[in-house]
Amino acid sequence: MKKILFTFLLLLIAQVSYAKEIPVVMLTHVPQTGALLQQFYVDVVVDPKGGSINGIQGAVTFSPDMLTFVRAETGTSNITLWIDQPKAQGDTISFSGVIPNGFNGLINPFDQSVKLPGQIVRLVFSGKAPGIAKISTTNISITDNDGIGTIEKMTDTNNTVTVSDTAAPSLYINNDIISPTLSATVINDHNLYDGKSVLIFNATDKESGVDHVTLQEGDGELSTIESPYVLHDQSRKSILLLHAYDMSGNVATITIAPLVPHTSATAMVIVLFITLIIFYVIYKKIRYVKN
Amino acid sequence: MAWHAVHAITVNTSTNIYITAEVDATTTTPPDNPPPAGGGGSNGAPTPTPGVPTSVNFSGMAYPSSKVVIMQDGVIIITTVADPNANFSAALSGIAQGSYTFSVYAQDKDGNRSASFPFPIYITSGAAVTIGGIILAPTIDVDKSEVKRGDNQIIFGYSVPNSKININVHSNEEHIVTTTTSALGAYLYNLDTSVLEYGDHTAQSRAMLVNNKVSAQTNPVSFKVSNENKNKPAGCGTIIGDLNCDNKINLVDFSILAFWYKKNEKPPENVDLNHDGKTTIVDFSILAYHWTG
Repeated sequence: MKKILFTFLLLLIAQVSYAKEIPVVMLTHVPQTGALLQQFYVDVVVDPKGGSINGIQGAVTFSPDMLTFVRAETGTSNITLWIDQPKAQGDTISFSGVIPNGFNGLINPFDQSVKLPGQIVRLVFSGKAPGIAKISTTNISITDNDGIGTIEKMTDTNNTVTVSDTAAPSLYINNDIISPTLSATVINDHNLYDGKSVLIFNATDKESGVDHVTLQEGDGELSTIESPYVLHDQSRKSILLLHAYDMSGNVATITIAPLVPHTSATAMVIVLFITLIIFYVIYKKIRYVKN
Repeated sequence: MAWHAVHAITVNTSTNIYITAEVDATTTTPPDNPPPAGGGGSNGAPTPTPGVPTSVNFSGMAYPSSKVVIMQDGVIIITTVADPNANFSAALSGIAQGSYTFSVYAQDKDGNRSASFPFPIYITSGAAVTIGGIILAPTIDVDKSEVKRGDNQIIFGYSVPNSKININVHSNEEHIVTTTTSALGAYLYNLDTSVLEYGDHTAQSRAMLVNNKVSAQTNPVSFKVSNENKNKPAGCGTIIGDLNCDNKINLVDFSILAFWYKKNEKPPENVDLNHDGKTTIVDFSILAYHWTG
């Protein structure tokens, strides 16, 4: 009996030793206390625990009666491509995105003894009313970087912030003075809006994160857009002016030239004028010959 | 400028990769604290030093005269060519402080790519970081998608010249075979499939260099053992994730996938990467795995 128990224990220990560690998604920098109108941030981070992950989807919920959600910053995120940018709806901030070629822990070159968790998003809140406010990760799943997209469901985590009844107005500001980086191209593919001309772009900002991107097509109106975007001018005669703004107001601009040379109204008038002169000269010559 | 080595540590003993970080001792105080969990923000992060150049240097081995591609956060930033002995090196400068994922891969003479080697790393302003000793995975391919049981399946690719190549064939029973690369880095193995069961199999390879250093492992290449031979199809649709058939997996393919995700309709067959009739995070994950920039 003792032998059986011993063998069982050995097997159990072996099982535990070889068990794959499950990645963890959690909130960090959650303050224990806050004050009315005082801004603070929490980071949603992922620790791949030695494995390699490449995607995440899920949400963070909070107590909207005691906290105001100010903004989501993605500048320091390890997520490279957002499928759904972090967006708040009621008490839920949802997001999803991927990391090309995967993430297996952040290396700090100055201390390589341990790999660090990666940041998903920084959420900025402000105290709204006194009480114990909840901030929780909810229904978060990550995908393994294994070529088949194995999904691992994360355990929900709950954190609390006690908001006091005293006001201590303060802003959390990211001193970002660097412009975002922006790249864009126009493509036509039968799998994308039935082959229409579509603008695709990638805007990144390593400091405060990208706030929004605007487009002006030719003399048209400025509009905030998301990638991919179907161009209004499918003839591609218009100049495309693209601006990417970060959370601190820094801007990056690129221009995409039209495929067909743009003919301005002035140029049209000049061409018409020259044509009229030519016709007039010919008319005069014909009259001269006849006379 | 006096450079002061702060750390020089081998981070992966199995693949001999080392990472060193140096800062200019005359102008910069070596940072004491690691970046905050998540690698961003100002809490605990070294103070940026304006005017001091920040650089990342890459070096390692690929295949003789092969194209070597370095990506920064999924975007190709450097393309270089390895020398006839398969050595490569590249330098990147002028980048801002922050966390980045650098990935390195090589492309052989047949156009096959190695598995990407990702390095998520925090770069401090004013630091010169070296990522050295990278030994890229070999390339691997097979000549038939289906092979008649008993016939030979040719497994081939490129790696560092004169290296031993271990090929693992994953079946119910794992088979390990070895061959060596030529002076040009090419290898080829005729696998007798009579030892394999009928059904699906995958093969992966890894190089062992003459100095006992070991490369990363290839991504798996799959084939089927059946009653007939079928050559591997070529052309559009054979590269997983290449949705617009331009031989690359990049932002264009991501955008096509994002379009079908937001449309919330059954996607075309070539867009539905896991063939479940919908576009989900799983399809994006498969795309991210095969990303080439």
